[in-house]
Amino acid sequence: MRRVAVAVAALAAALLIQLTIVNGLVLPGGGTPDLVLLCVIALALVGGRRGGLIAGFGAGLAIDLAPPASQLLGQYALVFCLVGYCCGRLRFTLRRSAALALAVAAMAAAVGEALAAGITLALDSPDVTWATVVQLLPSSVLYDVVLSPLVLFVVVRVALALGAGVGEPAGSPALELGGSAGPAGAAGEGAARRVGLAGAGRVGLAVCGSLRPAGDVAAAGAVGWLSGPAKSRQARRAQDRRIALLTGAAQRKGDVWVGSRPAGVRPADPVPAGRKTGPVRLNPGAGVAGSAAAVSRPAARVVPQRPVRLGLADQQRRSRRARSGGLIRSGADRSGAGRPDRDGHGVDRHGLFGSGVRRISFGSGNPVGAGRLSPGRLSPVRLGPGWLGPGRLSPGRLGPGRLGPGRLSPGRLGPGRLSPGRPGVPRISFAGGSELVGAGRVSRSRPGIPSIAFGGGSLRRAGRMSPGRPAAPRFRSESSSSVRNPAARSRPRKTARFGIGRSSVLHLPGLRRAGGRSTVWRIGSTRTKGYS
Amino acid sequence: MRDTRSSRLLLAAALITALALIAISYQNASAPLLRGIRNVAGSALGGAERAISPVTAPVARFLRSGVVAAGNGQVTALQRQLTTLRAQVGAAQLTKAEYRQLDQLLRTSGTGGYRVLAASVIAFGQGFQQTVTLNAGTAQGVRPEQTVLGPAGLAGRVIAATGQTCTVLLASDAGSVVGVRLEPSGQIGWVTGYGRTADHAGLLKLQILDPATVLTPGEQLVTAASMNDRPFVPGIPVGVIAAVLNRAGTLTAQALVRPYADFTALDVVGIVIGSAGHSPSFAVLPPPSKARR
Repeated sequence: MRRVAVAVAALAAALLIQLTIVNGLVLPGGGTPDLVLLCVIALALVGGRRGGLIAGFGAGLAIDLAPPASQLLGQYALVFCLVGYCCGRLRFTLRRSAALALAVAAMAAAVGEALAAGITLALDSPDVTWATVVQLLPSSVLYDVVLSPLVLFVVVRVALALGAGVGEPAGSPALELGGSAGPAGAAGEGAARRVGLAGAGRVGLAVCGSLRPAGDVAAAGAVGWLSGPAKSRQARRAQDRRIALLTGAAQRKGDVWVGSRPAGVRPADPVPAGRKTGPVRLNPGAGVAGSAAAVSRPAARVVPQRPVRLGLADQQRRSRRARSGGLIRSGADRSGAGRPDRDGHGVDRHGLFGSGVRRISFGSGNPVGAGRLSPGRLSPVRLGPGWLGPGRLSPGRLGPGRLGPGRLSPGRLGPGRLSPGRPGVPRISFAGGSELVGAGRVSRSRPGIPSIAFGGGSLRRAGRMSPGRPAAPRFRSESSSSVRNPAARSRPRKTARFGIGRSSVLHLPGLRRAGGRSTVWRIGSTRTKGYS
Repeated sequence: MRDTRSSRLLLAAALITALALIAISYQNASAPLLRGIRNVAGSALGGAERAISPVTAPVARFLRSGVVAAGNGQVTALQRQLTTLRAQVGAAQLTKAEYRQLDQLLRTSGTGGYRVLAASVIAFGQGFQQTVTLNAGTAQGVRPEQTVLGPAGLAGRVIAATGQTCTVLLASDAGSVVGVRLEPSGQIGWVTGYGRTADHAGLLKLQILDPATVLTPGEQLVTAASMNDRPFVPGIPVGVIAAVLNRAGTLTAQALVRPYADFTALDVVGIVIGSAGHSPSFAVLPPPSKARR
């Protein structure tokens, strides 16, 4: 709310300065800079496409209506809302590099001026001639380009001071103008500010990848040079931790975490193809599924027919949220529960993963097996039928890894596939299907590559999932037993859940669901017996 | 943020709204709907402009004057002191330039017998428009289609007025047409602006109806009478012919006119809210020797 107010104030100030001072200037070339356009561009680069769209439309309409205006109503609104929207689309440039963002701003300014002149030429043709436009346009564009870094600098700085993460995960409604949801969910404003300030502190270093010796953290943005480099070792460490928070990137090569992204963690750049990284490292103590990676097991031979949903139980989510103090947001955003097309915070359908971060998606795949590792790239681990978005691997210090409840992403419907990966890379496949008799049947298809199979049960149980609750997916496995214990096949059906936390400490006795129709299975805990 | 359905819908809605507004205003700029919107928004934004004009006007004046006493700190300091003292005395917040303009304006209007409402420029038009906003509105008796007088000559006409502000279309705008008479002969013609161009910076274009007229540089122009003195009261000095354009095949005699008013340095202007009831003819014109060529 405060950000919206500040954005409106900035636009109003730019408009008034433009009309009362700048337009009256007589500058060489005849043109004048357009502060409002520059302000719209900067706001769009910070606030995303919806923010840019609204800001552009509002500012344009204000220019059309502010008293000295005699042009057609809607002219500038049309131009500015287009410019704002397009700049919002190019928002990612702001956390890539300063030069890129400045180039985008300059280009957008030029395009905006040209568009405005073109519309004026088309609509006011008897008064405004081509010769006039040709004369005035270059100087106007030049002034805009010269001024755009300044305006961008000021707007970004103010936005950071207000706690707006410039690289906030796309899809978060928090940053958009008019958006009401706090970026940190339960923690709300405080966490948002914390994250934002962390962004201000760190991004700078990330601006130049060269400054960072461990190159696995992607460049985080253009803004941080404001704060300068860290001088002491402690400050550097703090910055490293912050950038891990900001970018969602792993601390070291191969460091990963499973689960949903903590609030404020920035999606890093898409992994460049062909980049080689080390094997997946999962945190054994965290109760992550990956802890089973040490046990070499072949992939499951599964022909699933129904998607298996995997997620956190509500109780676990709650306790998780309570524990994490809001900094780490648990998976499902309640407000977005009804919007399956929106990315959950645990899931990002695009470019979430930084270098060194594996993808895990849940799903039962085609007969080839769940989770195909695409060779040559970072090995995605997919759990489930692509029905859940990819989970996330985190460095351990961000919190224990977990299998996050992904928001449903219809675009990812379809079997997640694991291709034969590189040797040494563990595969985790969560398979569901009626044909899987018993729990996660294991066949050693390839020696040396461990995989974990979570057997899916019968379709009847899977069908019990209500499709109307996509935001709180839940993994239920009909199969009960461990892979090591064939005798467990005869056990009654159980539901496996993936816990968030490190151990059962998370489960306070009072919070345990009463009358549990299912048993909680936590991978890595002793209760899973065979899984740990 | 993904290109979600809602943001696309928002974009579509914004584009359609903008296009609809353009279409409506293109078809009829004075449609009641548009007039209402413009009135409300103009009052609000014009009020804001007016409210901040005490701050912005000196800045704008300083930047526009271009005469920055760089390197002469003492003069600047003295000027600042003078301004401060003046403000303290409360005689006026008017600066020296304003005084000069106002003085000239009053003399001009006094000669012609016009009743003039003095007003200051508080905002300038965006883009290719040559319009300004004045800090006087309908509350002060300003109505659309009234003549606006610069310190030395015609500035333009009022095209819109809200409660506290009004918008003036300057004579230098490409869409402005001013009926004029030549000083000695009384020939009828009209003057249009060139808009914001560098070509004919500060010049107007004169066309005389009679193609046989022989125009000579140095001839002066005054506004011709309009019905009910709207939009232009008669006799206001417009400019002096600077160059004659001889073009074969044109139906009118054409010339370039250097206006008396400096449209890029307008500050204090007068809105003619009443005239003497008779045309001053050429009485308001400055003596030809002083006329700029």
